[in-house]
Amino acid sequence: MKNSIKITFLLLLGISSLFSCKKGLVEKYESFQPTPVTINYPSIFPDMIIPDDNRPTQEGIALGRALYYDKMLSKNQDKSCSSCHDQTKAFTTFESNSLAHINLAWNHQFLWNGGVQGTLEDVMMFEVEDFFKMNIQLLNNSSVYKTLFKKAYGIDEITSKYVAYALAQFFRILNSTDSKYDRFIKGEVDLNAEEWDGYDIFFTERGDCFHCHGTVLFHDNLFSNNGLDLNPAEGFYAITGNAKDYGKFKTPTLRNIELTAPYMHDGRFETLEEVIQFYSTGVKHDSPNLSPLMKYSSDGGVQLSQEEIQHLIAFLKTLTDPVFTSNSALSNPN
Amino acid sequence: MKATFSAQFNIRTTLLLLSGLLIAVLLLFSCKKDNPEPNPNPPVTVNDSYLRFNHKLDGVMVDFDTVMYTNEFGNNFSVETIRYFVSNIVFVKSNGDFVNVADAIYVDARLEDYKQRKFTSTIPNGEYTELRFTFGLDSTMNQTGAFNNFPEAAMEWPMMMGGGYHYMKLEGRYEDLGAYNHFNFHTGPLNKNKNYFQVAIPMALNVSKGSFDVSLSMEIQNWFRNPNLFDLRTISNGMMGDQTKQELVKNNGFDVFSIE
Repeated sequence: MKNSIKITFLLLLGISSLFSCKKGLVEKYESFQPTPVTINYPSIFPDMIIPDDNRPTQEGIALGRALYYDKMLSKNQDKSCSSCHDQTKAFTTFESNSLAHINLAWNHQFLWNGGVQGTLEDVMMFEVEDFFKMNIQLLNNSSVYKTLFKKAYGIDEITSKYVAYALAQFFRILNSTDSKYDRFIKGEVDLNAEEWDGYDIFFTERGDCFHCHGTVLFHDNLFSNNGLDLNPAEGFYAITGNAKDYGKFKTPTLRNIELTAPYMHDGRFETLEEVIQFYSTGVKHDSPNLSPLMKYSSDGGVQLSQEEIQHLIAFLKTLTDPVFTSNSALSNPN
Repeated sequence: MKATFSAQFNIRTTLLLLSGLLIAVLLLFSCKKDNPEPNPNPPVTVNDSYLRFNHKLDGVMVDFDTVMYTNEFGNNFSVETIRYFVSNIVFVKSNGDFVNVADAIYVDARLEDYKQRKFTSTIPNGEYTELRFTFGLDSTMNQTGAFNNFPEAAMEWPMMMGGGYHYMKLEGRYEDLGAYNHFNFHTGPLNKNKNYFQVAIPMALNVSKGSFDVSLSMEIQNWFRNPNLFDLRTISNGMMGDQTKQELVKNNGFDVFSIE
């Protein structure tokens, strides 16, 4: 009798402990409930690249925004992303000649020479570990960041991976989709006469800009040699080792181009006039692996007149998005 | 004595119950391991289907980037880019029955993933005697916004010139008095003109298990001749905006493709 009671008691004890463990798991899950966010963008844009393990949330985006503006990101705590990526300059700066942080949510390839291929998470990992050489312990010593990471990712120990993930979430809302040109395409505004002629130059073989700088993103997602130099820097070849990639660099977006001087991978041109003058008469025909789209290279380029150059610049200025450069949701939260 | 017997009985009962339970579990799993009766209708393994695109010059797979070819006009030239759309791809039987194979396929001769299209669904078995498709995109399909993602998005044809997408970008260099200049053989819906064309190629395709593997070959030389002979030094200049040139190219396209 005593033994049967013991066996029954043990069974009941085991069953109740099983249920109490389950209750503990439920309690832990309920403490990590980030708020999902849907990132809206125009239907004419490509599908945004979002990995399944880093879906956008309010907490993730807020955390990424805090990190973007925090000098704790860097090894010597002397610079943040925003040090070289100023919102008023469409997230670049003149001094840095950094690629602007515009619409990178639709990119597969990053850096001027294509040094990182993949998702935003991949390039943010590069930034955290290789570029900034971040001291993760500083974040783990911060009760504020510990709380923010707990809310965003449910983790107790902060790692480079989750810093990169949070930054990627913020980058996914750095989207410029509301320039004068966008409103023109939607039929909401008109272009003036100079802008219209510049539009024609851009999108026909007069200027032929659209072949590399077309699509709503104003780039072709490719690497090309546009004939800057007879002896160009190695460019994409440094990544692929393919001799046919020598001298090729990433086609940057032209959105907000009015704000993102200087121009080209080495920042050699300070004004849009210089850029277009290069494409008119300065293309180096014998540059190795010259893009076949530079078909007027034997004449030095597309041979635009000074009036046409000014009209083309007028059109390029319609790609400026003042909403993007002033949106407080993208600004320094401090 | 009575109490001892009762305790022993309870332990024995418990053990017996547990043993019975164990035996039942073992029986259940051992039953699962028995070989089932052979299936009189075993499932047929269906392979994936492929439509492959090969690109040749003078009958040989093209070697990109090297100026080593001569066209009928006498231009020495190279090929650097071959990108195009084919659409409304249909296999036709001798009795007129047909099956739609694909709506639109983007081809890039230099990218492995875009030199063939894989299909996982089957088509009806039978003898197919003709392959038909549209070179390019017809008016219904060729609307700006139809292809928002890369790489197809980069085939965009400007709204200023009618909108939609290029049918083809065929690019390379030609030699001219010792210098090498680029040609851009770009075809498309200039001002919404129907510069696409239909291709119909006889074939002998026997489909017995729902799948197929068909290779299409493009002979690049045929773009430059028959019936119109092209001088690469002049034909591609301003081609996108020249409807006369667009029609000349269209007329040359009838014998560019064959089935291997």
